[in-house]
Amino acid sequence: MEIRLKLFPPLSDAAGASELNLTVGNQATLETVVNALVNRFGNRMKRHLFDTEGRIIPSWAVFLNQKIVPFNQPHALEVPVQPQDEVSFILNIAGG
Amino acid sequence: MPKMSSRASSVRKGRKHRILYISRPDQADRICSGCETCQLMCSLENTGAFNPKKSRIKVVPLSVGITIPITCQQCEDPWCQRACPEKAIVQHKKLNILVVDEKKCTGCAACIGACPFGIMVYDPEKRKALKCDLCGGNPACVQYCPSKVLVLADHQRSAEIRRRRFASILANEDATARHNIAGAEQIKTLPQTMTQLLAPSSQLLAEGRK
Amino acid sequence: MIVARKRGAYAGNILRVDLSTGKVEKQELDLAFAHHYIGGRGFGSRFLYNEVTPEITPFDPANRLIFTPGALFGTAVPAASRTTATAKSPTTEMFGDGHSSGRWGAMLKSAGYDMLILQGAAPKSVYLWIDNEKVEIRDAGHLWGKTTMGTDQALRESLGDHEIGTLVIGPAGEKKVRLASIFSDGIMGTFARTGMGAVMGSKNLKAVATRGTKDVGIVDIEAFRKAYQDYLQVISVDPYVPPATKYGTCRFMYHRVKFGIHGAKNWRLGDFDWKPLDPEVFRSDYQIKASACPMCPVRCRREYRIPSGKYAGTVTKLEWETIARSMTCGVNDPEAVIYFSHICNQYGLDVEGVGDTVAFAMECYEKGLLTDKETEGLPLHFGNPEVLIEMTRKIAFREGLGDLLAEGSLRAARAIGKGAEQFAMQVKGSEMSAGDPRGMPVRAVSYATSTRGSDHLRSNPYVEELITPEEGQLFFGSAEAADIFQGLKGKGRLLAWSENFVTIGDLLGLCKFAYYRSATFSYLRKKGVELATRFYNACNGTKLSEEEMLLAGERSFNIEKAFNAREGAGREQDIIPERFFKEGLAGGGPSHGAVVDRGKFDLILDEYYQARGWDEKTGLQKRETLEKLGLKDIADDLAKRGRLG
Repeated sequence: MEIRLKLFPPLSDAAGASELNLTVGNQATLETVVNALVNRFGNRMKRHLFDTEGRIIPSWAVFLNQKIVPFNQPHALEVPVQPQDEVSFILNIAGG
Repeated sequence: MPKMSSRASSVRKGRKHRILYISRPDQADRICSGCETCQLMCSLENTGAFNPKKSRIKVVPLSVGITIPITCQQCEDPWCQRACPEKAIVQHKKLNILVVDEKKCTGCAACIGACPFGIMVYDPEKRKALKCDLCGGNPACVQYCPSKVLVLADHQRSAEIRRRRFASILANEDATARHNIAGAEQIKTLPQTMTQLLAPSSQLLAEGRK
Repeated sequence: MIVARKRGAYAGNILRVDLSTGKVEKQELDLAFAHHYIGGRGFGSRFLYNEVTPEITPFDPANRLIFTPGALFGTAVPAASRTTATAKSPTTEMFGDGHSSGRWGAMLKSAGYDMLILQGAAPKSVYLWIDNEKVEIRDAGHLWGKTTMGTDQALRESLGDHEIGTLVIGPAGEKKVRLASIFSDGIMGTFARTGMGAVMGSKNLKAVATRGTKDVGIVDIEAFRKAYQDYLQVISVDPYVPPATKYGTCRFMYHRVKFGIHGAKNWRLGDFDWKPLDPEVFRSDYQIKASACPMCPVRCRREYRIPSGKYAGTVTKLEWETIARSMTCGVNDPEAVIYFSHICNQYGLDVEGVGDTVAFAMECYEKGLLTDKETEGLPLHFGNPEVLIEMTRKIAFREGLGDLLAEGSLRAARAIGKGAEQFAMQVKGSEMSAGDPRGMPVRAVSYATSTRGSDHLRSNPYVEELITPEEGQLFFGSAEAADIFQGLKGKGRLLAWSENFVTIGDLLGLCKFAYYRSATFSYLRKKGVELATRFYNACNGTKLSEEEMLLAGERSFNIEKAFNAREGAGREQDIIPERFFKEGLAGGGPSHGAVVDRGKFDLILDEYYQARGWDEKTGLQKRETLEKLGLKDIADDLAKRGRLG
């Protein structure tokens, strides 16, 4: 199925685009989406999403159809995605 | 720690080298950031302590947002050596550059006045002249610069940089000439001075009363 | 912990200048004291507690103004270039401090001093000239009235040395505007908050110019180099860093967008038309380059230039909170925002305090509590950039309504009356900072517990956004600590730990963006605790453990708390504006409708006091907590005054 991705920097820099369509399997979850993104764009995408131990960095959060899903919440990565869902990755820095 | 490059070993083999400021103006993080790490890593390497006054590389803050590092150009025909009355500026034992012989230096500062780049330095503690010696071939400033704008350049690279710099001076002259021609054909309104901008605006007050 | 005999990176002396009598006093810095309180904020808080008791008011000549470079400033430790200014604050009327980038602090160390303590007040305007051992109080008649840059330039010219370090106040500080700041080296850095500029102005001190030629030492060069390489390694993999280098602090816009917490229109709207202020706009249209504070490889500071239009030719430094507080005034024109930063920089004002105070005035105007009579015809509407700029100028010079607003939003509200206080968005007298706390429980508490009023830098509750539930359990006793929106348990402990953690940076002079922010909790601890401690030990030949370094952070925090307790503050003062409890966040966005739940606020605060070893009911410190930190004398002093928990 196809889902729509919106990317902010630095992921948009790694992808060369801020909006794109991604094809994932029918049982896809947010974790699948992250892996698909890395498969497509390689190391320059991976270094932002995975730590040196190979774990998805928990400080990322996405908007799944306007609802925020921080990755550090229990079972966040298991949330399923549906066809035509919009997943937005916003910059994961914290600060002020 | 970056490995000793083949360039560094060629420094030892006798080709003239110097440290040049080579920025990439199209990339914001490849312009001198003004961090001055080069100054303190230079003094650490040479003296074992931190003191920008003892740095052989100097960062010049020209204005808000503009900082330029100045390095010894390791001149072929050195003004510092010519000016020295004590013959204290001598050939390095291994590298094809000049260094200050501390035993002979009397701290008269003639070299400091003579250097056209202003990059001979006066050590405030030892009261002697200091000069860049390329850290023996692997300059600390080049290693630690986070924006990577300091380059250890051999004679070919140096010549290329100097050509480009001179070319841009000539290009600026063309641009100025074009601008002057254009300016003569137009009357432009000067932007408001700071005082005008900062005075209470009577127009603003008038708008408020509408 | 063995007290090293070598001075290491310490200069070894304390300089004290009495501006009333002209007396200059030098005292040796005791190394045992240095290794206990470390430096920077730790020195400032200890001396302020010792010397400024409750009967001394902020503008009283007996108030101290204490400058303390971080312990590692003057070395090449990455991003170790921050200095603290400490005094009793004209905005909070209790503990106050500011932290600044710049060169001056290293110059003080090179001149031979770890601290500069100023007391008294000069009979007429003066500046202080420190040239290694020589210390002179000189007439500043020719400098009074100049902008910050103007003063800095004039000093360099007249002293014939462009390599000096300077601290200056602008016209705002001269007029004791409570929102005035002290600027370091032109506009390189600012001791922005809590009115330090007004204290300096009250002493008739226009500037401190300093020249130093001495070495700043280091004991273990190999350990330093190894820690340096390890630091570079961490920042090469930490995803936090590339956007920092690319966008500067503008990047925090994305964080506010993510949670819908802009604080727009005087902290009423969570969503706002922020797109004109997109970090990309600042990066592509206005930024000069990726600038750096001294010694920093992250390079996230920015100077901006406006090439054309109404404000053409403006070149100034601008950071995130200026953009945030412009939105608090409803303004979203990037050039006006840059110009707003420019005049705050030149006049010597705290952009955060000014932004919030003007927004307060705008809401009063909207609701009829201020009329055209008080504004002298200026239409104080939200969203009008010229009005924001004009009002800022009036505050700097105490003109018209600016004279009232120069007192800060709380005092102005009290003078206006008619319920204006509900629109003054401040904590302990110091205006709100960062983003809106509604919908994020521990953030709300963090604004309340900071020892100098609202301050997102004092605490770092962002840790809740980084940790997994497992890390929450391991470090803070509950998996709930990782739950940003609903979590309660563990949040108080997280907050207490975060506060101690970031204080380390202020002791050492380390920038928070280089050590105390990260994309993962493990990189964060690696930088902010492990590497910070290794750098300190390498420079000073000490063997402090990481626990001892965290304890030093806890120590300074408790001294500041004790100072406030002595001034009469307790649990009642650890509170945030009513608006956050009563009004739902408006304007749409991810946190639309959210409020701060008072019950949850109190529960987190209870756990926080427990974690801190303070009495839950009163918020006052317990004796055993102070004694554990080696602060028995403070426990005794508070006990005498009935301010012990």
